[in-house]
Amino acid sequence: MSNPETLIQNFPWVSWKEDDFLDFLKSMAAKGWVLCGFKKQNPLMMWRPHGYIFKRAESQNLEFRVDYRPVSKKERDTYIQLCEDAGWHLGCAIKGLYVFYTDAKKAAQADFFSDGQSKISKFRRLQIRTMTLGVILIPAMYYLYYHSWLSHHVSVFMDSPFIASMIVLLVIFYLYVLIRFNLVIGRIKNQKNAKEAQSKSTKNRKKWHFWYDVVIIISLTLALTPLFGIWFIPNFHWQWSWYFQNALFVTQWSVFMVLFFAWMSRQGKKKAKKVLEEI
Amino acid sequence: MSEKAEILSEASTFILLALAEPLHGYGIIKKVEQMSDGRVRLGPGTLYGALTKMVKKGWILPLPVENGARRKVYKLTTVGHEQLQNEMARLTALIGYGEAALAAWKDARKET
Repeated sequence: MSNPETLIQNFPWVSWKEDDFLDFLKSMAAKGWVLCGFKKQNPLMMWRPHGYIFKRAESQNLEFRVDYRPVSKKERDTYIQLCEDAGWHLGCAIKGLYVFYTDAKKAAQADFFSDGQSKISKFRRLQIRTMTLGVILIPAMYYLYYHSWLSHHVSVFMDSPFIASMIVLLVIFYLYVLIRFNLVIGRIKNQKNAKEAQSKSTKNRKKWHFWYDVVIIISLTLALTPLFGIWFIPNFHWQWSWYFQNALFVTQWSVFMVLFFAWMSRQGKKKAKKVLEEI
Repeated sequence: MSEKAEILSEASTFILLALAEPLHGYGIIKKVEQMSDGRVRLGPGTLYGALTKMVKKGWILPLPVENGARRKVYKLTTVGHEQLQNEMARLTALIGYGEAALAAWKDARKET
């Protein structure tokens, strides 16, 4: 068996659900691989999960935390220095996203975030970052398809249920993101004993997570389809047949989206299991 | 009073109290831990967020540092000092109400 010094692994994770990723890093550290960097990816391959570089070390019991701070380069140095001083070492940093780690004993004494408010503001910053694209994209698409010179010349834009459903789907996706972040924030607000709440929510979440997604997305679809007709389509007349046709059309896209998220989180767990068995 | 008084969080209050003398980030963590007999241990994530917020509000001021220095030293401003005084006045008033209420409760128990 070869014994390499570094190892690169992908791990797909979404920013409102960091626990699986942190658990993966923890078990890697227990196996003697400590996170030390981020692999830059081809910008054309954005959909691929990020690559994380691990360095050979002794088996350690480490605790990892993720933070998001979009700050200038100078501020960045100050911030990293502060964390290093406080005993949290930088694992990797990319585009304002930082992963810090420290000894598990030290983390139990003094956590990276010492109050709920700062944890909540981290998720709020992430939420704003994720929602920004949607806030720009949705009105832009709406304008392009229904009010720009393009829509006046190409009649397919006005009539096509495909394009209409793409806009609705984007609205649903960004509302879903909004709701997911708010659920996470609500969970932090409600917890009295941080550790207890965390272990509880993790167990519940694993069992019910997929069905929450299904319920949230399907109800958003059913609720938003009529609104879409009323707001977007000129001279709109309400018909149940129209509603069912469109709702069905959008629902199939939504179901694809749910399946995609489920696939992504499954992929992450499978990957972690495979990697941890192999090394 | 130039600005409306805000209710400070525990972390912010301790940071302002620690800044009686200019300190850098980790100095604040140590001082707060010492002041509270080890009860309050500020996490670096929480501390950094609170510091940037307070710099924006003008309560504290990062002192100019020479190029290449990675640690920033912070100083309390007059606005910050006012905020701290307001907070202390609020807490003193709260303690006053609390003691009065407890005394009244004791008297009521004696009578029955």
